[in-house]
Amino acid sequence: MANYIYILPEIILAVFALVMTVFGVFRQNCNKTTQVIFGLNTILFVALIYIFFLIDKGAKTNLTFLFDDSFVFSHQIFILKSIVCAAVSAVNIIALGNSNFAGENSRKIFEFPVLITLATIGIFIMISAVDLMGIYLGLELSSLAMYVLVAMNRDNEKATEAGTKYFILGALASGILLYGASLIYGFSGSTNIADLVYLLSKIETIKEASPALVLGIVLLFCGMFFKLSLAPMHFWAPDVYQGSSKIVLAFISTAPKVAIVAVLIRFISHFSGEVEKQFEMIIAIVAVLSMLVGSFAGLVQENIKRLIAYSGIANMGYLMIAVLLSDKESIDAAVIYLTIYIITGLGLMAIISVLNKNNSEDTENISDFAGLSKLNPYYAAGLAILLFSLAGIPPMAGFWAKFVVFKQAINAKLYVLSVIGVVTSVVAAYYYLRIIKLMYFDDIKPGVTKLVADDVLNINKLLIAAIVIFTLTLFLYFDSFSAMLG
Amino acid sequence: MSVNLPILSLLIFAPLLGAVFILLFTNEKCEEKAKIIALWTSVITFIISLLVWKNFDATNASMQMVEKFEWVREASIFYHLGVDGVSIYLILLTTLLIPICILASWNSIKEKIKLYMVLFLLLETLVIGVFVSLDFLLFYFFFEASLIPMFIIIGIWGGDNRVYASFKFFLYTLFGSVFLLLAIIYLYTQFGTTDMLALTEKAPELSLKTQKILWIAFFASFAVKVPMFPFHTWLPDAHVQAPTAGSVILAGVLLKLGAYGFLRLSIPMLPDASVYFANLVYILSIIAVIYTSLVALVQEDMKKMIAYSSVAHMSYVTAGIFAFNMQSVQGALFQMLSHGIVSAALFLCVGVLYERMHTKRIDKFGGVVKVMPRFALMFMVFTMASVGLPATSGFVGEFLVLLGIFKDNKIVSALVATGVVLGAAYMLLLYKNVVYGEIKNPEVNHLKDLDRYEKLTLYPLALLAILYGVLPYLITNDIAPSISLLLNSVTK
Repeated sequence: MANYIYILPEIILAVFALVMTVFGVFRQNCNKTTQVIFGLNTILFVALIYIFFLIDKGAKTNLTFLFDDSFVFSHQIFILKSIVCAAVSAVNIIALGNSNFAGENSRKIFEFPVLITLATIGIFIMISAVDLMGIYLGLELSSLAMYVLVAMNRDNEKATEAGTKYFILGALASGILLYGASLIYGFSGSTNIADLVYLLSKIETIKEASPALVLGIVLLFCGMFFKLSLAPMHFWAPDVYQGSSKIVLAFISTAPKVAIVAVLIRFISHFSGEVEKQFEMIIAIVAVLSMLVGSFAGLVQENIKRLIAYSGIANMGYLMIAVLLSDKESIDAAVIYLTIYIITGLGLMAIISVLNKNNSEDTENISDFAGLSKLNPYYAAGLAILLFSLAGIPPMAGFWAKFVVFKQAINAKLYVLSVIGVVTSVVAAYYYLRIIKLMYFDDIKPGVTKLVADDVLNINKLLIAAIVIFTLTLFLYFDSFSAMLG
Repeated sequence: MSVNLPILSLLIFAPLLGAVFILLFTNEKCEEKAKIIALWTSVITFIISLLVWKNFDATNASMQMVEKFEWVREASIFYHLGVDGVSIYLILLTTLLIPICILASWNSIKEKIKLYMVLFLLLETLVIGVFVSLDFLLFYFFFEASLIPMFIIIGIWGGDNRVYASFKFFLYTLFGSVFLLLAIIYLYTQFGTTDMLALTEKAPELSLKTQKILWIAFFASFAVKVPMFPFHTWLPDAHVQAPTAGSVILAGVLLKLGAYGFLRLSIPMLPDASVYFANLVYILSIIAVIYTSLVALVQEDMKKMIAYSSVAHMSYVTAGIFAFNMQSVQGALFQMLSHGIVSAALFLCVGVLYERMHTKRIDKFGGVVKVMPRFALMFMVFTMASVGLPATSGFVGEFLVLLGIFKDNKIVSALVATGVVLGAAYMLLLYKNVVYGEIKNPEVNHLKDLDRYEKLTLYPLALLAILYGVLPYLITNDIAPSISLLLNSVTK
């Protein structure tokens, strides 16, 4: 019975999702249903952070293995799950104030918040799973929910295209991952990561390992890289992001990344010796490619969602530097980086989701932001601060994220990787600056009288203000911030 | 004045406080109030800096008024401040120029006044922060963050090509700085601290090979900032496009950050590599002096000409710093201060003409002396100071630098000295074409002489340029002890 305490949050979420589905069916014609579910979601996820906190406090050992060693709970997992909870409640807050998440009559689609809840269960399962089966189940649960979320706006061509692309390519990646898992099972006799790691620790060089086993792990990694939109498996991201509504984008560009990074860390941090070096090399190559693709391809993007996609690719590249090092400090650095990235990304989405032209047309292109500082100086200032943060300029939060990662890289003598990292960060700074230029240096486009929706909720404004203030003042309490995540 | 008062923190945060005050208590309708608050804030900051100067003990070479608090405990990074002879006058220069910038913008900036004032005060905070930080990461923090306000100042209030200039400025400087960040992190991983004083003691022990790589990383950042040939191309663009006050602060203070970095960081921390690369710096400085002076000769735009002359003058500074002797480094620092006053004043003079004629082309002017005698006098003083006429501050800096280099390398000294001749050529040409001659352009007839704001900005600078030309020991005596301490590691 004690085991079930640890998965209480997942159980609560599952029950909640089912109850809300029934609730929604019975009140289908009421526009308020969706709003209510969004609201409940927000509260529930904040409450879950507290529940996780209690579980973590009550845990007797540092690392608790449950259900035949297929599920794990630790302080680090508490941190990761709390980050996801906070991110998902932020997404729900953003959605509360934005009625256009799935085209016309979005408010009637009560499944939307339910799907977000379901995807989050999948993310939680992945974060905790130590078994390939568990990882796969969690991945599929979250992915399937996200395919539907992306395609939700079915009257929109772009959304349908994005949904189809996401589903087909996502299924392909899942297939690759599953094939890798089956090879691992076939050649090691176990689906448990702990067993696999034990097996690999026995061998001196990679040549001693069975090629099929190595291939299995590589395929598994490829599937993960795909889901994390790392180059060269990034092609889906810009298209899918472009087709998604801003709310869906706020979700898929943040929370799921935590799960995949957690799984990658689980693998790589337990490898040792020669095997570790080989896999580090794979991740290093992927990191370099992602940094290059993310920063250079971002230069020519005109669509803000595509830009966010490329920015995400580059940022995941930086994150991979910390992941591949996989010692205790580097993992802490990775968690700090991921947290700051998610917070900044959510702030960006929170602001972008309230921008529209004259309360009617959606703002898709970067050029739509022209003159924002003249119409809404506060939103413009907030967005500018977040963009400077993404560019890694002190004193913003993004600087600290880059600082901790490069600190680990230099410490591990990864000089080439560091130099590529900082140079691409300068290249990427160009596209962040371009948005600032449009907001501050350019004039308002003719015919545009309003760029921010009239009906922005106070809670939404509060969220934006909180994120911007956090980004701006992190340097004052970076000490306690990093201690909290460590 | 009690010593326990955190006067340096006060100095850093006074402008920031003023900026926050403006943000909270003014709105778009009463922008006049923003100007007044900004001016008072900058004047108060100047007074605080004078108090720092008064407390400063010139006979003591080590850091004074030190403040040290834990900042990032886990990483043992400190909030560590202090002043010595090298930084004290640069701080005074900054706090002096900011009120002048605000006065110079009083009537010329007409839109978004509130944001403009906030950015200038923010810039002041960051620049003072660079000069007083004794922690390398804190230094980098201020050094890099100062890009943001300058970027926006050029981008919003600049000329027609402002976007290009602001991007070039930002990306060039950022590109240089990121290598500095890597170098800082490397030093940190080696010695477990980012404290400058500790690193000054420990870092010279590094092998020459490591020092060389770190030196190049430092150089990437500082050389772009100075700017040294061939990294100077952002400067003419930034200057031409920036509003007058933007040019003043850019030439007056921001360029000094790079030279200050060489002096405070490159030389004491990496002495062997500094000696190794001294010839490279000499060569680049010589090329810069001759090449940019020649380029300045043919400019048709006044601001561009003065921008190129800035590059030439800053080359004396770099050459002087890397001659590693007392006179040359003293001269370099003196030249930094003198250039800070003189080039700032020259940009103000160009601004005076631009306000009236809305052009910076030299051939549109001529005979200005007939209608603006006071202006002509001021312009004369600063032209002469820029040329390096004895009894102006420009002479002292150039003379000491040349003297110092002569001791080290006679050929280099002779080549650098050609810049004096060329400098005289283009500055006198500029002065002749603008101020003397017949009035060719009828618009010049209607020009009015200096108004009270302009007098308030130009007169004090003229006074200083002459005062420090006549009595240079006022500065050189104060800076000498700290410089000899900095040079200790090289001469050993």
